[in-house]
Amino acid sequence: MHVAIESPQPGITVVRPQGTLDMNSVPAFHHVLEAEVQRAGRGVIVALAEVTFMDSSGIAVLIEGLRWSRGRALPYVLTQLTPAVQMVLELARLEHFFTIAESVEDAVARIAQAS
Amino acid sequence: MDAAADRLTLSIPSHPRYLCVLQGFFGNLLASLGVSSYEVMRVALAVHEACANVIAHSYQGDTGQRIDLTVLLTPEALVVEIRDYGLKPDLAAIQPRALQDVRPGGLGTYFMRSIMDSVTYDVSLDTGTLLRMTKRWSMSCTSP
Repeated sequence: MHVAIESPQPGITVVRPQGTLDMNSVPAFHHVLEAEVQRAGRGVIVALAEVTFMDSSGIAVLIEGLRWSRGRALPYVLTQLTPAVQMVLELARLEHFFTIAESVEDAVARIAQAS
Repeated sequence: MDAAADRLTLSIPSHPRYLCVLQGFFGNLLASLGVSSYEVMRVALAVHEACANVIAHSYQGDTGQRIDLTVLLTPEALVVEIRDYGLKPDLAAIQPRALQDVRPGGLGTYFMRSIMDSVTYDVSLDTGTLLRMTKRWSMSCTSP
């Protein structure tokens, strides 16, 4: 799986997984996400616009990301949920567990407000 | 199981890289039958989770084994049978975790049972397990 990394503002990292987020790709994404949470100074945004399929292991790594972020007292925001991602979050009843923003810009604004 | 059923078969190696095949197979099949895109996603997820469990638990991560799927399209329902030849599950231990227990892992079985109308395990075979999942046709999941 390919994961794009962006930094729209200093200290804010946008992590963009691309393709399928499942048992096959999650180990690599887990590694990238953990490293980016450790590197971020102000907050982490996971932009899911290019995730075409996600399974329970994908949810698990998103939960891990939140825990790592909480451990560092960093805001952690999901954004650009595709229908496939939205469906899985709703099925797990986790749509209110995460902070979810409409767009990357909205997510950046939330983090800027919090920091 | 049902003489009137259309029957399709698919066999995949027990490697996580081949799980993506299921999305294409079930996506195309169910879409061609007029099933809504939302239900297509859900059924594909249930089958994906079942096969991921086979790889992780029945085969303990051994990627050199085989998973055989049989799809039965009956007038009443979609039936997906997933056959493995690995370790038999401890049926008492297959319990979806409580959703309020937010932690990584344990959601796959919950997804399968939430999406499908029935999920049963046949562990009476000489080797392995036959998992059978049934989804009745409905307004959003119509009969072929």
